[in-house]
Amino acid sequence: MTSALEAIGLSKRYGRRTWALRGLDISIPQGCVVGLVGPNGAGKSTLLKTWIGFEKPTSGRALTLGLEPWRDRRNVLPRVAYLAQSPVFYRDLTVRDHLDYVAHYRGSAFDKGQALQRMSELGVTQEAKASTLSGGQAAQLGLAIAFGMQAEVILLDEPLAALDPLARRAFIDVLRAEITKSGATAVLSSHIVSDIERACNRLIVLSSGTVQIEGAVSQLIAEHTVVPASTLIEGDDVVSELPDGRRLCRRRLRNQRPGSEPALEDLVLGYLAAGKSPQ
Amino acid sequence: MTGLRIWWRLHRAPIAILVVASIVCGLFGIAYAENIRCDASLSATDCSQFLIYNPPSSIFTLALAVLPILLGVVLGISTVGSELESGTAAFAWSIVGSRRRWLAEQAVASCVSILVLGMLCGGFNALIVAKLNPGHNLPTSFVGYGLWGPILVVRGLSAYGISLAIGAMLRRVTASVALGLVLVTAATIAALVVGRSFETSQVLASNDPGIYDALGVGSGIPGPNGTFQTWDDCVLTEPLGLDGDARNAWPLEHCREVSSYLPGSKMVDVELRESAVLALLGLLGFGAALALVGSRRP
Repeated sequence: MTSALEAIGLSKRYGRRTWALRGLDISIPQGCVVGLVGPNGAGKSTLLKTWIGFEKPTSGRALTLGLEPWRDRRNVLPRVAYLAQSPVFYRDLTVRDHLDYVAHYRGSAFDKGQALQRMSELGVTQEAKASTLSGGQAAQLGLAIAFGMQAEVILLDEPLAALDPLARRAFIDVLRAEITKSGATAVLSSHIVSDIERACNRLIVLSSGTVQIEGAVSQLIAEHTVVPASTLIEGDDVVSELPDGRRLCRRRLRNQRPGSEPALEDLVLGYLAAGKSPQ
Repeated sequence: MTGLRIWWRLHRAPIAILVVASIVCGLFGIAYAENIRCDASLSATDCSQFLIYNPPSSIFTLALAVLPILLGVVLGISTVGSELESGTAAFAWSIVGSRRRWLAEQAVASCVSILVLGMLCGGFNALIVAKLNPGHNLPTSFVGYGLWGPILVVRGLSAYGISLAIGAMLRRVTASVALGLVLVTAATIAALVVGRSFETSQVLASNDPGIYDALGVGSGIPGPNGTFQTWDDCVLTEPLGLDGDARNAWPLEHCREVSSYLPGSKMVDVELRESAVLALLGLLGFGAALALVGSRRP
């Protein structure tokens, strides 16, 4: 399957010493919805920004639809939609103005009618100024723009962070429905594992600029197990200790010992803990 | 048209404020110039000085001369600097295929608005200066030089280019405004100096009628080879053998301070040279902004 997004030995350094990304190797197949999880400062935003061409890699390559976005923005941007963290719109422009703005630059590739319809379904009038939109409405405007652009790749940089649970649920429902319809590839960066679980079929856990784990959610869960600490024996491939004291281990354990399938949250927490203090 | 409409919605507040301010200053300035009269006791020279330098007309003409520069600074910084500071650049630059096309569209619209305001202010000031200085042919006179005419448009455009680069570089509005005003002022002064520095000045007598249209560029005691010299240097050139009253009178007679002027006929040349310097600085700023916008992280 062709990769929609790739990172090949991708590193990004700010200043002389601060590494945001360190030698990432990632390949995201087309049509996937990927959850990008990691603590603050893990490099999630930087990774998304390199895929849209906002950041220049220090070394390695970031590829979006097979192109290097930093060098080839003109050909990459028309095929990609990006929703920034806490989407910032022009305060004095109305919803309609924003859609006109996008239509002006994206031309016929932008389905303004669809975006307008989506906003009206949410009860947001076309003449509402961006400054009057709630966090949820602003996020939905960003999503309406992203899907109106009929982009092949949608990069969502923590759009749920400031939303209440109902707004988050509405956002994810729309995201899932639209992705199913359009077949686009989406990357959703978030702290909230339950949101990732509901929306995504693939997972990347980032910590300190490195990939801790990457793959299809179902496969990753199948490849891990959680066991009580007391049942560990020499040679078990332990990832880390979970907050409740159990251990997250790679692969099935030998000797038919009891172990349970990890919840996605266990998997994420286990690898984030491993990223902090490798075992 | 959509791009223009949205650009207008984003920038209409400062433009409207400055256009209204220019109309108010222009109308009050013209009304004032229309009604002000010299006292009968003033000589023609004193009357001319009174009319051009009396405070109310100075305030109006000065304000009108500054407004296009202010618009240039405000639009220049808001085009990129405030987009970067507020975060809207991330939205805009993820939408546009080419940031340079985006910047060019913004710049064209901004430059047209500066052109319109500059012409409005330049026109108002030409009327005010003409009313305060009857009998002068302004295009061949330095009367009110720099306060009226197309130079106001060029100053505004130059301020725009410089501010555009500063906004893109600093990414902060307040700091950009402060640095922008300093650099634009420096650029305006540099252009003023360069504008007149390639012309040969003439020493005109105070009763020379051309003095009213001329531009004073210096004063001093004439020395050898057409240069100015200090009083002490001049006194040293006193011939030997003088004594008594003759010796006292010699410096008073030979070391008299005179003023040098550029004749009014040079006005267009000086203005063109000053405009060229400002245009060059503005274009340099625009070029720097283009380069910065291409590489900036939103």
